Amino acid sequence: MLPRISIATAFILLHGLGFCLESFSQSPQSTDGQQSASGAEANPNRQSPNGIAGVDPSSDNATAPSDHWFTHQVLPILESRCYGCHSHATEMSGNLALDFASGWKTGGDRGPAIQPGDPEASLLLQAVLGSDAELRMPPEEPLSSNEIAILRKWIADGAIDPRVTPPTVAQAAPWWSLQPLAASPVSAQHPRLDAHSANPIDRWIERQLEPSGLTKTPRADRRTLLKRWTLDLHGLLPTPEEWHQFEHDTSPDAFEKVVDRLLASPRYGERWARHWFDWIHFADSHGYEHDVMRMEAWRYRDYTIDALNADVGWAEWVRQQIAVDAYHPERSDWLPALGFLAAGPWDQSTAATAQTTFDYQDRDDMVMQIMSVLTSTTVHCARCHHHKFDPISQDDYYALQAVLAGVGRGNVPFDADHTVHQQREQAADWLRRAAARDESFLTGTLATDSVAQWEQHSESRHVAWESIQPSMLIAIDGTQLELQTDLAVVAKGPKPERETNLVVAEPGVKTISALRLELLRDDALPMGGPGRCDNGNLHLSELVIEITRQGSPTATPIKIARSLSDFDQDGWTVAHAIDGDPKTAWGIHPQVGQDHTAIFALETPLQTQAGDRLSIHLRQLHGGFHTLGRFRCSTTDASPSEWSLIPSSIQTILAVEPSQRSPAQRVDLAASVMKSRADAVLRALPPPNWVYAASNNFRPLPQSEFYVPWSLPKNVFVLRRGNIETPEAQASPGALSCLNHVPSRFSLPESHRESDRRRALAEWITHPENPLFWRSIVNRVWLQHFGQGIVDTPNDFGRMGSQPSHPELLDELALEFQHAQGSLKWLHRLILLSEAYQRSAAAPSSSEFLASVATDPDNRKRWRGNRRRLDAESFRDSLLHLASTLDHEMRGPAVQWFRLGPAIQVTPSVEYANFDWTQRTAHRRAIYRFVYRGQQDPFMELLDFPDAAQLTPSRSLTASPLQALALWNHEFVLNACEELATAIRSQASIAQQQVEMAYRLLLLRPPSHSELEEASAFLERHSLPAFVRVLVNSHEFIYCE
Amino acid sequence: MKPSQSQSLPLVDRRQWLTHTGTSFGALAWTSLLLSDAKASSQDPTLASWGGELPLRPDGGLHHPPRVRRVIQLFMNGGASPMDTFDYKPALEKHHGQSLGPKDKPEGFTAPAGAVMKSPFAFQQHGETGRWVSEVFPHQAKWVDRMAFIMSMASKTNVHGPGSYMMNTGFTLPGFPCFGAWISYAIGNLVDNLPTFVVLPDARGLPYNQRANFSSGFLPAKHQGLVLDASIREPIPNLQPAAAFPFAQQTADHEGLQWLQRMNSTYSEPRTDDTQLAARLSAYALAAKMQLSAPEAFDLSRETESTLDSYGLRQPTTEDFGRRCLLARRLIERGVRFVQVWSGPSGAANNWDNHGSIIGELPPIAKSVDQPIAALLEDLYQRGLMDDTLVVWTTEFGRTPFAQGSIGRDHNGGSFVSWFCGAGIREGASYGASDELGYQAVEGKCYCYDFHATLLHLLGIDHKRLTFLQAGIDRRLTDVHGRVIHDILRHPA
Repeated sequence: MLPRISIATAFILLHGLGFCLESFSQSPQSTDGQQSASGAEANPNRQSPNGIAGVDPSSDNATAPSDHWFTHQVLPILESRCYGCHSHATEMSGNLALDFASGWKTGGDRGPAIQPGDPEASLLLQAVLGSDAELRMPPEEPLSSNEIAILRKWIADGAIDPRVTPPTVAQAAPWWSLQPLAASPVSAQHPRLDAHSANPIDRWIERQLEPSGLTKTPRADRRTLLKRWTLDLHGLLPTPEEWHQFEHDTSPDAFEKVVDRLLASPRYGERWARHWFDWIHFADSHGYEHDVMRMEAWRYRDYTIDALNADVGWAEWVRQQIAVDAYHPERSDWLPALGFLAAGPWDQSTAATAQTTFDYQDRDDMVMQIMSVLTSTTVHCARCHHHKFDPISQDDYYALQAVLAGVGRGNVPFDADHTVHQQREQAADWLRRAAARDESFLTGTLATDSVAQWEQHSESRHVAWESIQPSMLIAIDGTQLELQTDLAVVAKGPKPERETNLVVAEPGVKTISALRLELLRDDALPMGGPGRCDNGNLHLSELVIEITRQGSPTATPIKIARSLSDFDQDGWTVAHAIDGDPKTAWGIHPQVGQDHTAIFALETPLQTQAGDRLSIHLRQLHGGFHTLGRFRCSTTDASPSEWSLIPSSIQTILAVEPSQRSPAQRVDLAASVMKSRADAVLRALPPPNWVYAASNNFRPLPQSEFYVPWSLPKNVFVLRRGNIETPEAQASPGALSCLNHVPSRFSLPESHRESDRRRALAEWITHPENPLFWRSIVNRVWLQHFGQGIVDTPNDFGRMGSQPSHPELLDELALEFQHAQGSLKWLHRLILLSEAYQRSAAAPSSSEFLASVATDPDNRKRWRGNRRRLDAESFRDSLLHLASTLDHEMRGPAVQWFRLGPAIQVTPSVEYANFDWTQRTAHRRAIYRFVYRGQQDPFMELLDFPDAAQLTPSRSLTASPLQALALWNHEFVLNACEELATAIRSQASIAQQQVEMAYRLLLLRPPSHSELEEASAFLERHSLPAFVRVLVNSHEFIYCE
Repeated sequence: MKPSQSQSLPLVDRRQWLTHTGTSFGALAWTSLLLSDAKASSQDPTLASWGGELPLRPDGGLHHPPRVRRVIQLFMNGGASPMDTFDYKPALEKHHGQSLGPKDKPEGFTAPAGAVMKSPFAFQQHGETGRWVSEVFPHQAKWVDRMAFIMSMASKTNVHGPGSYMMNTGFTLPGFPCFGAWISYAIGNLVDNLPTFVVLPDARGLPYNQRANFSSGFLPAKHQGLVLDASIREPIPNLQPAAAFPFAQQTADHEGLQWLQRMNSTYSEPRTDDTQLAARLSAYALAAKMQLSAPEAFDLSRETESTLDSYGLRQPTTEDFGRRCLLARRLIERGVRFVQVWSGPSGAANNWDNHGSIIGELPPIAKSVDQPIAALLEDLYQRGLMDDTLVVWTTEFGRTPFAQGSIGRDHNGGSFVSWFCGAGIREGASYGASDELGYQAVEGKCYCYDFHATLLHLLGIDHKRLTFLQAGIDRRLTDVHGRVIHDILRHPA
């Protein structure tokens, strides 16, 4: 039995890829054991090799070995039985390709596959005979004896093979989705249709409808339209007030007013963000084994809602999501856009134990997402071999991986407040220039003014420090400490991994309000010190001060109120030196080779007497030789401040009259002042915000500290058969070669920034002449509004996808959308105001209607409206919305509609049962809930919330007994019924009024006479919430006509 | 759901049907027509989306007669060690302490390979087949003559998450439908008053990947596994309204539901063209049936004391797994198509992921399943359920013959063991072999593709023809691989 010949089939036949047939033919196959089903299917157009029953090839003397004989007898067998594993389009298993002559001549791992003229010595024949179990081929069903006979004869006759050129990737033969967007004005061809409607949608729909004989349904009534529009744009049912207003609006632009009102509301962004998140498999946790919560993922959710509400142009929005750091480096507040790249699952376990596998897999997820969602191509099919159906090479695929070779996923710092970011940037700039001794900056107005100002103030803030003269120096782990003339202590000799220094002094009669620890650079130390670690760093785990009063046998610790430093290593602040935790410490990397100062202010000033002993314990317990190299301790009786952090070298300069200072001294002083000014600015700023995103600057999530950013993009190789063990050429950043609007391999300068790669990809994708990009989004928006796309496979415009039902319309929409600056709101408006969209779904039982159903049951020609069920979010949000208990608060951390139980390793157990649905956070819109990728909310899941492990271009909406039980009995629903009942009671006290009210609230219409009777009778026996429960489960409530 | 009358109805082309209908139908008549109107299957997304099912043969198979109608899968979470259970390797004793493993840490190992480590457990031959079983499985050892073993299972990964995905869905990535979802999609349920695919996780927690192992992936959500907490009396969610909502109880509940069905029938009547309305109407009717049947199905108090005892419900070590094995039998007996019983939660303890110490960690988890599994087999045979029930024992990968630390074993996708028992199985069969250390499968290497192909074959399904169109690809459980392991079948093709 032959299959229907689809486009895909025809294509495969053209390209000889019979292998793939088995997976898409739905037709029952012959059970005749003699007949190879796949062989029969591969060649409906030519005689099957098995179809030559009775022909004994060996006695077929009439047919001389020739190209013709090869093409008609041998090739079909190779195509249908061997190419599946041994061709360029597939995997070349064992490195053997049988799709051109050189393939079998060179052979695979075992050498030449065929010895022309000698069948018995040919590996190919041995394999199909199956005598050697190791060699047996094909692995599934063996060839028929007839097929074997043909191969034997072919080899015996010298294995004539005309296939001399190596096969290439599926040719970029004309394919609709790769053609440029074409304007084909329908008006020129059909002036009458043009007059019919101003809306291009209707012009093109009419053009197909007119000759089809289908009977259009009339425009849906106003109530239905309002329901459609509101659900489509807000994911909510309209309220009776909104209905009342629209019902009585007789103005000619009443429709436009409703659509514009809905588009202007922030509810629009909340609704459409959810569609976007379905498409890009966004969730708030990793998925996989270690399903870690991404507590900062919500920043991307808020960014998305804001971008939609602001109607950011489509191309611009996509550019931001791929490379906002390259396009808008100044807009830190837009950095959450990069949450797009990090939307999908992340396999922490593989990242930890199989790094190379992980890197390719992680980039694969990003590549798949970007290209499926933005260009409707299935590039990920080219991971192991060239794409079997579309002109996408493995090189293209790995070029895309190379684009992303510099980014990893984690928490990325940013400033949600733009002005904060500007201040932070300015301070960072001062720091950079001060560190670089940028003379033009340090002798400029800003710096000189700052110095003058600073000196004015420093006078009054000057604190006198007195260096401690130690009476004893101890290093308990073996370091030799030596006191220098400037009272600095130098560490020499043995170099233990850890150390604790003890400085003992007899200060005499004194008041001590603070201790200063100076870390001093020294050329004798690694990198100039001040630490002994190879990188010049040190880690001061704890600093403890004790006083031993004269005559007392015991030492008393002195409380330190706070600590200050001139510089802290990231994550190693000076506060750690007094936190009592030996695992944390103060460090100064990367500012090595320079002096640093820390000040420890005592809680109350310490009065010392003659004979008292002061002990300073400097514990350096981190290990890795993070010990002190050169340092000095001083004390003061004054109240210390940031000003006291001035290094002594600068204080020396300050002692010189300003007019007497050398130019070098001025620069040094200005650098110091600008640095301290910048530090003060930074200290005063709020800490950065974090977003879970992909970037080359991220902080790993807790429990994955092993995964840290890398400075240069990793090397990506084209992997033969997708196997990391068989890397081939190194890939360079690029995109698809089948389009030529810009070169498919990006020309980036040698020293390009990582983000330049992503920017180049964003340019390639969003280019005005990239037809895939513009068609893709137009089709998606269309699909959400109509329930089906112009192309039914939104993620695949390739040869395995569907063809557009209205290709000219798709192109015109794409072009017009482009001209409208990619305004999604413009597109919504155009669609929602079209006649095609407004057609009724309802079914008058006329014969015309039934005939139309029979002719076009899937409504491909849009002759009617489609009935659609409320999706999970629309259902639950609408219940609360109509009860007036929906909390419209926007933004903020994801609300958790579950309780967290004890974690196994890093994955907490997520408990959804017995949740208190009366609490306020349970009344937020569903877009704000925490979506746990591996532990989905069972209620939402039963209502067909998709598996966030997968891109979901459109949801399938099902009906099942478990879903019915959830809608009928789930505590959220029952609680919402009570809330709805309360809302109704607040406006109507008599049973009959309550029934009227409930119908108007939930179904936007009054009850019929019989409904009113039945409902009133039900209310007499039972309660209002029990009645509401029936209505919210009704078809009429849950379907939008 | 497959009411019997549907099978006698001729296949109706949807268009034909639509032109010939137009009068009102009772819910059941609708349902039966719906079920037979499924010729287009995955080719027609609108059909699949409201839950249309594939047309079954009169014998209940999809492509050929089934040998098996119901399946219980016992999943040992964490990577059960083959060489300490069923894969006896005397060579390990010979090479004990030698460094024969890979020098660099292979991808997916959690640590560099240590020296070869012999099994700390004694092995003995059992039954007439003389199968070697270690002392950790004294009860299962009595059943080896009835089982068929695949001694050469292999995985493409050494990492739990991808490994569990692979054994459940055929892919190492998330987002693909698991085996249970595929058979729900392919052949549906045997009855209409209980769910099709039930998952009974360890009381201590979900396995690696949590619920994603039971996902329907891109198949409609109704095919996903129903994860039940076996420790509560009424595990089916939302079966009854909570007591906190007095308005939803008793007569208000019953009369409300009846009224709803009337209301929805009235709504559906003039909309004959739209099958999703009827599907939803029948879903509520089935929900009502499930309310009646489920409590009895989960009520273990109806079992005899000796049954409870034999499954180990009276001992703390075996109680949890035993309860779930017994529940599995009760569900299977009542027509549930597929029950998956998990041993061990995710994480580093209480499962089969014995990195730290084989001798310390394996015996307790082995003991917790051994007696219940033997009791389950015996019970199924005694009740005649094994005529069409299959029990399979699986794990996501094996463990290294090399020590991790000094007495543990690391992950190893190279080789592991799986056994089959029950309908359609050639008793006492054994297929394939690992190398002399048990490190790599060398003879008859089987991936999940072959494992799943064999299971589907037994259920009357050709794995190559069970497809669903997703993102331009006709997806299969077995990807582009898979061959039926006829050597372990009683009726090899």
